[in-house]
Amino acid sequence: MSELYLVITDGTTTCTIADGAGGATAYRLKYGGWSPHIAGLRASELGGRGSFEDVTETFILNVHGSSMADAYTKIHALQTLVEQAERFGRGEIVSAVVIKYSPPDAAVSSAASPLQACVLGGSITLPGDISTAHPQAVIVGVRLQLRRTGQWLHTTETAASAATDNGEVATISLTACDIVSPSALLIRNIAKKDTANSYSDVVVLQAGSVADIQIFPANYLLPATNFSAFYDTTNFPLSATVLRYTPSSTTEQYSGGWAIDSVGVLAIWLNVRNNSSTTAFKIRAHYSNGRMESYTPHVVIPAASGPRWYFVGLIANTVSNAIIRLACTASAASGTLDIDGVALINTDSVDYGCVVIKQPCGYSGNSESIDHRALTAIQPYVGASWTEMRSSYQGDAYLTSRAATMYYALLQTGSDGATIHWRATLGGALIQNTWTLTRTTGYMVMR
Amino acid sequence: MSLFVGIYDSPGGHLIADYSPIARDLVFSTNEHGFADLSFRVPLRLSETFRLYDRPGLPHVVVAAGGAIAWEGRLEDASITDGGLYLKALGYQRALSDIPYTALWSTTSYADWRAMTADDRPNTRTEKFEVDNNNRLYIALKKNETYTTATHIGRLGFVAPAGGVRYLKTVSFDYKIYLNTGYTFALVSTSGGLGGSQTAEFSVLGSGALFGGSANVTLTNSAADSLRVEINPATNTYTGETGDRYIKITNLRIKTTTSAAVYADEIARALVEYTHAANSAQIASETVLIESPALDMTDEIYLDRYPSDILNTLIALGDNAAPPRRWEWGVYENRLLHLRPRGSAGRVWFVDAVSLEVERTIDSVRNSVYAVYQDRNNVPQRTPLAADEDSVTQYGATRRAAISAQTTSATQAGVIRDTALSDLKNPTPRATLRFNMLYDAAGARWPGWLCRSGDTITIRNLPPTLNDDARVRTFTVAETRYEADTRTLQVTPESPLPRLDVLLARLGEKI
Repeated sequence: MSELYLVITDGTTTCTIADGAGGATAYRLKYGGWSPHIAGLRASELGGRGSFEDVTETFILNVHGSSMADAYTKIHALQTLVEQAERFGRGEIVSAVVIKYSPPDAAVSSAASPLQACVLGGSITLPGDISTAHPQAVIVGVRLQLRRTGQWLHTTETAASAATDNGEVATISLTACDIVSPSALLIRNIAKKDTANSYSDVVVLQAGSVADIQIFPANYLLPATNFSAFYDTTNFPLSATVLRYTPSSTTEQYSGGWAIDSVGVLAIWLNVRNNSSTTAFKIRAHYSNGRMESYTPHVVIPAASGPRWYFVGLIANTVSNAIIRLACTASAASGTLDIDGVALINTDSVDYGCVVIKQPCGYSGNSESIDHRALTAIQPYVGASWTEMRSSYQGDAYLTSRAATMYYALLQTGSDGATIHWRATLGGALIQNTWTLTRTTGYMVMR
Repeated sequence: MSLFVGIYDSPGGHLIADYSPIARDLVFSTNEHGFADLSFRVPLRLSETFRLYDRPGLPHVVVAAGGAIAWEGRLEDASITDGGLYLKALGYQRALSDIPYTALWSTTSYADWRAMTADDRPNTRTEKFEVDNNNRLYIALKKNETYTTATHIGRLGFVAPAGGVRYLKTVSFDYKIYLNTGYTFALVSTSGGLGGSQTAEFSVLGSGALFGGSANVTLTNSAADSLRVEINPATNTYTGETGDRYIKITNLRIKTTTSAAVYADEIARALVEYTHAANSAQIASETVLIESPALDMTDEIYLDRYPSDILNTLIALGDNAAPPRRWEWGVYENRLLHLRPRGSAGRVWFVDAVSLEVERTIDSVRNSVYAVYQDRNNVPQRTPLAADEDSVTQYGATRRAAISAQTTSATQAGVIRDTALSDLKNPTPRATLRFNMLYDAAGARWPGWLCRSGDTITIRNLPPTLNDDARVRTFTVAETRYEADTRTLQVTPESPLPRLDVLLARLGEKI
């Protein structure tokens, strides 16, 4: 039968409220002096901090010292941590202050392996009789308020994928979580653009089911008038041929359709190359569920550009067997537009994640990290894994997940030369990426 | 799908800061010209606030959900407050208000032509001729005037706006020439003003007989900024009556494009090129989203006007459809200018309003209208009344308006009257609506930030008995404002552009 464990620490200064063994501590929780809060889902749509609201905990403590002077010193230590937490919460570069917790008779946590949350600030209110010397050197009824991150984090679990061709879906299996939990990624073999290499920005996609992430060759969208299959194996497409659009006019023309089953708001990415030096193209996706139709906004493909992955837009699907097509418009009835891959990802899934890492990023043979840093920093980290070298990015880098099997895809074009291949290559071979997922199991209540 | 708010040193540049975890009160909006503004607070130390406050350049602000851009713009205002930094960014539509634009595109005006003197160009003796530019260009010989060839030349000149960015390309006109043998009529272009280097573009020799024709001259001078028409006389004394020998030019049009017509899309593309050349990190150079209203504009001269003002003028004219459609220009993601029919790229949404403020007033209602115009003798006239009986019944009163019509045509005044009645017969509600959920026709739920100006919204939870003329149940969105902290979308319905305004704008352009 374990006892309450409750500690506030930055790794250097530690204020122990309960030691997990029922022993006497300097900061003793008054009986009934803490009603733990359970965080709700975050109301704000802004990312970077996970899915749950911060909560404010209030503790009523009796602070014991060997003398009143020592009791004041104890208060001072607590105040130091609270101030540091406040600075941390503002984004200042100070060490994180965490609250460690294991309830009595815990099923999951223990004093050796407690639940943890970051403290983001707080305040201390001393009792009204503070000026009265207490013969036992106790300051009774100190009110400590701490604002903490809403989710209690526990142990981590790490698993890796097999080496997976760039542009294809990698799979990682680990233990399912009850609720979404912070998930850090390590991606090996992201290729860096420089004067000699033509690698593109990197799109990282995360999903929690195979239905929620689909990557398929665009030549599935055949047959259709003015669309054909173009043999392009030398440029490493997803299959031997890519979908070629040869405009016969400047009016919008449609590819064939592709049935989708995933229900939710789906993000569409296309890998596109404009072969014309003069004709620009517009692309948008057309969605039809048999009763209603909708379009994504136009995406402009400049002349003589690509291959490059473009975000085309969002479609909301409510039924199985809905059809998407591509609608292409040329600025002149000349030139050709090639489309290799189509990537669909369900953004409504709780396991959804998407981060676009901008060049320059990665190094051949080395790893890029997307790390929530939930217990160590106020902001997530995207950058080199072997040193603190941040990359530019777009998207919520505080990835979370809960599924037992996670699916990942890395979308990148280019090569270690001037030729831009449909998928990133090195030395004439497709780059393979290895994904390592470290998930920190999260709880909302005492476990 | 959570939102990311990042600040980059430039579009496509390096990430300066990811403020997603600490941003407060993030609000962003769209209006009829695309992404409008964005603001948020960031709690920072004073030293860190100055990092952004004092930073050179124009940082690029992005609100994104994965690859989807919810809003982007440039960081224009940073203010330091007690709690940190308050940042305000404006959409790239602002880039079209950075640099004024001066150019002539097309003119049919004779008023900008003037009689040249020897100060303009040697051998000019226009005072020896009778000239005028009243709805024509006219140069005639004077009785008993002695002329010397190549020395006593009569000239009318035209100069494009100083500092304009376009050269003259084509001149079209009808002409009548009645000159004796030895006299020559010529159209000459010059570079560097009327006194600059010249290129003969068109000429006709006098034959002693009256003849006429039409000309459409593409200038060979690729840097022409001025034109003149002239009579180079034979050396003699003219003894005929003044005005018996002349040249007369009518139906004149000067363009700075070789296109047969001047459409708004060509002007818009030129504005993009001009703006991009000056600030390449602002408006993108691609022009694929610019569509053509196919409306030929004969008089387009812009003097020190911002491109945004010019675009406002262009869209006010509508297009060649009947009736003319309303157009829009704006800038959304990737800093691309679009010019297209209003709402043509809009989406259709269905919502359940959680907060509704609608004010209906009959203050603006006029359901009986007549027009006031002047006849050819400048005597004020009034058209017969036109009334909308449905509106009179609905609102329980006849509310009459007199519309001033700048015309001498009773027919035209009637058209203006009827258009005004159509605009004014129903009230335009002033409304603000807030909701948390956005649905499409299939009932699928969408993120609220996807709603933009130009989209169409239908409020599902209003009484089905509501009069459709109230323009409340279904409306085009004029402005959106999204509060990320509460995931709340606020929209303002669009007031229909008065068709009378379009009509009058087109009349002003002789369309």
